[in-house]
Parts: sequence; structure tokens; C-alpha cells
Amino acid sequence: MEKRRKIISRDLRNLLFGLLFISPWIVSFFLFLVYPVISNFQLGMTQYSGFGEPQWTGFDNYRQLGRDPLFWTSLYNTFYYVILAVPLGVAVAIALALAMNQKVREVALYRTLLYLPSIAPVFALSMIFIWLLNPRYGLFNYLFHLLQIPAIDWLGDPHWSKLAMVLVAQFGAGQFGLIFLTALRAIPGTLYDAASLDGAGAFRKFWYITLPLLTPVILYDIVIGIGLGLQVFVPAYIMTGGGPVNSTMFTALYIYKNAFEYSQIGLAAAASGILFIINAVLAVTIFWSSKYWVNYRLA
Amino acid sequence: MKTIRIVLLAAAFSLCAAAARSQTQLKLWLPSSLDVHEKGAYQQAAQEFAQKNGNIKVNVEVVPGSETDVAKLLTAVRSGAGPDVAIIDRFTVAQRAAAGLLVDLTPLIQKEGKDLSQEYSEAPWKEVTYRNKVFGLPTDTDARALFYNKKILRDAGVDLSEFDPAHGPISPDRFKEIAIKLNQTDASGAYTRIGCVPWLEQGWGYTWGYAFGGNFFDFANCKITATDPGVVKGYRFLYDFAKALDPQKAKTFVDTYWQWPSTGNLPDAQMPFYTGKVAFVITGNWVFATIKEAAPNLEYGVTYIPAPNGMKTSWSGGWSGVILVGSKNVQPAYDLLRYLTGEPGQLLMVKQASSLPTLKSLQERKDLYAPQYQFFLSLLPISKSRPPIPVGALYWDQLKQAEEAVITNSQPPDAALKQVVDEVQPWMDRYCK
Repeated sequence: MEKRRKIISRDLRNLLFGLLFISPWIVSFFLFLVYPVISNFQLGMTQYSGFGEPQWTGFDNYRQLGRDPLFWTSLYNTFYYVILAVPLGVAVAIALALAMNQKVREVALYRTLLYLPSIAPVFALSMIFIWLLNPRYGLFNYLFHLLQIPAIDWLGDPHWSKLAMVLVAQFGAGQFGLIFLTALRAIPGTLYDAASLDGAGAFRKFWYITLPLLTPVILYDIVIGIGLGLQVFVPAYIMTGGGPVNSTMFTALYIYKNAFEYSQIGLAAAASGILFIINAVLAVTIFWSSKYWVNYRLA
Repeated sequence: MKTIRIVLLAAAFSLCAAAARSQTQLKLWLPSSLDVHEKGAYQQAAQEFAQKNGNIKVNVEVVPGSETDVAKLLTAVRSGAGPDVAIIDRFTVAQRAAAGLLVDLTPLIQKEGKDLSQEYSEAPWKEVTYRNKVFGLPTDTDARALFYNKKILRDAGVDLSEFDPAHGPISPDRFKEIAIKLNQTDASGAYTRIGCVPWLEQGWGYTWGYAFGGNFFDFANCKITATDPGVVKGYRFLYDFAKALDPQKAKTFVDTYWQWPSTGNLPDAQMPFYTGKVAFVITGNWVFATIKEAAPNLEYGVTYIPAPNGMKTSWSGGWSGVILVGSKNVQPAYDLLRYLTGEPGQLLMVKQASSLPTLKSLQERKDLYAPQYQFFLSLLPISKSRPPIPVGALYWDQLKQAEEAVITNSQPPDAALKQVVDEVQPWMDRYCK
């Protein structure tokens, strides 16, 4: 009995020490994440311009959002972007990782070149892409011209503007490419040797060995990618301002405009709350589904 | 001896520190969307004010911001790090006042004992007034008109006298007919020159809505009137013009050759009107300074905006100086504001930035203006302004979206404008009570 009490007391002490050591994180987590989230939901129930006292309006802002066609357009645009940008981002990142993993002498140079676009801030990339996507003199349409493909007004045509944003996002895929590269290098070479002995070709080795063993990183990439995708803001803010015809009015831009241009902080907070819930539900669902497709056995 | 020197040095430092403490520091913020001449004029006016008031130092900062986007200003003021004085677009003063961002200047004006409402033109004064209180002082104003490239018109055999202001405004149908004739395409059918893209530059919904006799707000009933027949006609004009050009081809042309100068991507000298890519453009008096530098050899004329029945129309915007809540130097800030928006500040704006003054006394001084300004001064009495309402920025953005829907022919004008009313009126209702 005495021994058990000692263990409990020691465990308790360890727990307290443990908590003490991670207290900077705990304090930050509650102060900079939990509190703002709760506060945001509170604000979402008020009419508030950012100055003076918020006026309690209950679910008015949520009702207003439900009636606002622009909010629904912004959600549609955001989902459109996420559904395209995230899977494509995973594919591009894996392709980059495979390219960076080649056993060639100049590998360091290739890795640097492939990673380089990811260093550029999204703001700078967006400014550059305004030129690259110029309908008449842009590099992309010049290449199309060489291939006899008709020119596209990437940022001016509502049918192409969201795809242009998806395209810009791929230039940041190097970040995830680096993580995929680490995962690739962690896969034991013996697995590939065994597969070769069994007569497997490059595609089969990729499909049955590489891809399953990359699934933990794919899960990470998808969850983070969805979070970032739902908050996509900078390219639209810089390149199109939400146009043409609201085709790049993403929810984050909608929130920004309401908060900082129209002084409707309450409504913006309500929209942020909805975006947060969507993000949380998607993250939980993907984590739940991961038991069916993520392979941790050799990772 | 050494000790005396140290004591003297310490005394000098103390005196300097005391002097710095007694000096009032004012922060003046200018939005980055002002053009270089406007920024220069404000900066010079602030310097002059500081020189005349030795105990006041003015720190002028250019911060990211535009006509409707004041995110940086809002967050800075909210966090207590905001400026004392800021220059904001005048049509948003009511909105920022309703949001509680601005200091009510009425007591300061009363203390001064002057009736400032009599010193400024009526329209700008109304714009800085919200619920019978004054929240800003007007700096400059402007007016919009049709600029045309004489050489292109002459080469195409167009009779230039049709655009002589003495004949009044050209009718929209005739204007369209002439403009379409000036279009040029390359082998692929893409436009290399368009006579006029009527929504380019200052061809906003307000411009064409007013040109067709529209009214954008019903003050008596607190109603957004974007579906007013005149406004619908204005948007219909844009819809039909875009259709005649082929909306997508026109958009490709605009996206190729034109970007907002504020994005910093397109040097002034490459603006399509200066390079002859368009023969007509709706813009304002502020471009005189730019043309002088970027296209000194441009042969151009200025006339009324095309309108039915010879109706002369224009609309005016402009900036205003405001004091932000949280300023600890309200009286010195007000003195600075009076200097910037008074005769000395406005004179600099006229001379350096091709602006028109909002002060009646300066408008009457004909010696100040080159001949081309006279036309714009003559527009001021008939010129309208955007309705100063607490949802002005939202209304502006929604009208822009309707314009985009119309010029891409993706929505008919009446449907697009009804959507504007549906979107803005519920927000306006909150202030109508």
C-alpha cells in the first residue's frame, strides 16, 4: 500500500514537472488559440465595428450569412480550390521528392533548383504571376502559342481564374516535397531489392511499396493542405481582388473585406467560425478515415 | 576642467531631452494608393506646418491602403498605435464615422468660431458630415470627363468638332458608333486597339449611372436605389457596348494592356490611352500632371461624358483629413488638419497634383489654373458625388461587381443591380433606424 502511494506521488510529481516543462506551449495554446477561437465565436454573435461596445445580436450574423449569395459563392470557390489544389499539391510534391531523390552527381543542385520556388513569398509569386499569366505577352500563353493551343485569359476569364490560383499554389509544393523526400529516404532499400527479385517493375514498386509507405506523410500533407487551402487569401488579394465576377472571392477574402473594409467584424467573425468548423470536421473525418488507408507499419 | 566639461555636456543633454519632451509629435498617415504627386503635396504641407509651429513635429508615413481598404489603419487605431491624422477617401467618412473610428470635429470647429461649411463647396462638405456632425475636412476634389486622342480620331477621319465641349455631350449611340470604328485587330482577331473600353479607368457604374440620369440613394426613405431606371440604363449601355466588342476579347485586351497603377505593375507611360491603345478614356483632371511627365507629346482633348439629351454630367471624389480616436494630441492634430485642408495645403495640391480645391475661395482664383483646368472647374457645379452613407464601401464594391457581371455579359443589368440592392439594403437598414 505504502509502495503504491509512493508510486502515485512520484507519478504526480513527474506529471507536474512534465506540465511545467511544456507550460510555455500550454499557455500559448490557450492564450493564442483557444481564447481567440472562443472569443471569435462570441464576436460572431454581435454587431461590432471594431470600436465601441459590441451589441449582442444572437444568431443574426449567421442568418445574414445564410442569405448572402456572395458568402455561398465564396464557399463554393474555396471548396473548388481545395478540391483541386490539395490532391494536385500532393502529386506535385511526390513528383518533386522523386526527382530530388535521384542518384545523380548533381543532386544537390537539382534539389536546390526544385526547392527554390518554395522560398519565394506567396506575395512575390503572385506579383510575378500577374506577368507570367498575361493573356498576350505572358510566358504561359507563349508556350501555348508554340504548341498551337489558343491563348487563355487566365486571370480575366472566370472559367480559368481559380485554376490560375491552383497553378500558383503548386509553386509552393517544394515545402511538402522536402518532407516526402525524407520519407522516401526512410524506406528500406531491401524492400525494393526484394521486389526486383520478384520481377516488379518501376511502376509496381512505386505503387506497392513507395506509395503505401508515404501515406503517413500524405495524410499530413492533406490535413495541412486543406487547412491552408480553406484559408487561401494572398493570391486572390494580389492578383484579382476576388474577381472576375467573384470567381476568386474565397471565403478568407470575403472575411477580410467584411472585417476591414466594411467594418462588419461580427459578420466576419461568424464567417470565420463557420470556416473553422468546416476545417475541424474535415480534419477529424480525414483522421478517422486514415485507419483505412494510412500504413504506419514501416514508417 | 574635465569635471566642468562633463557637467556642461550633461546639462546640454538634459536641455535637449527636455526640448524633445516638450515637442508634440504628430503622426500623419497617407494611403499608398495616392499618386506620387498627391503624396508629395501632403508631405510638403506637413513640413511647412511643422516649420511654422516649432513645437510640433509631424511624422508622415505612407501605409498600405486604398479608397476602401483601411485594414492597416483600423488595426493600428484599435491597438492604440494609430496615427493622429489620416487621409481617407471622402466618400467613406460616413462609414468610418459610423464605425466609431473618427473623432467628432464639431466642438473643435465651434471653438474656432468659424462657419467652415460656408468655406467649402457643398458636396464635399456633405460628404464629411454624418448625422449633423463633422468628422473630417475636405482636401481636394476632382471631376470626370471624356479624354480623346486627337491624332487617332483625325487619322480615322472623325470630325473633331463633334467633341468640342461647346457642342455639349455627344450622344451615347453616336459615341459608340465612332468608337467601334476605331477598333483594330491582329491576324488572330485579338484587339490591338479599341476605340473605347467605357469601363476603363473612371468609367465606373457611378459614371454611367449619373450620365443616364440615375440616382443611387434615396435619402428621404433611406433606400439603396441601384435599380433606379437611370442607373439601369447606364449599366445597359455598358452591357451593350461590351456585347458589341465581344466581352471576352475586350477583357483579354484590358488584362493585357491595363492594370491599376496602384499595383505598381504598369508604369504611367504604358497606360493604354497614352500609348494609343485606346482612343477614348473616362478619367479626371489629376492626369494632367501624369500626362505632362509620361506622355508630354500626347495630342488630346477633353469633353463631356457622353450622355443622352445633351445632359452635362460628371461626378467628383476626393480625399479628406480625419483625426483618429485614440489621438492624444487632438488640438494640434486639428491645427495640422486645418493647414492641410486650408488654403496653404490645397494650393500645394492644385500646383503639384493637378487637383481641384474644395475651398470656394481657391476655386474663384482663376489665375491659379492652366486653361485645361477651366473645363473641370466648370463641371464642379453640376458634378455629383457618391452618396455619403455608412455602407459606402460595401455599396461601391457591390456596384463594381455588378459592373463586372454586366461587362462580361454574364448577367443582365437589372438582375445584377437588383442583387446589389439585396446585398446592401439589409446592412443599410441597420443605420436607418
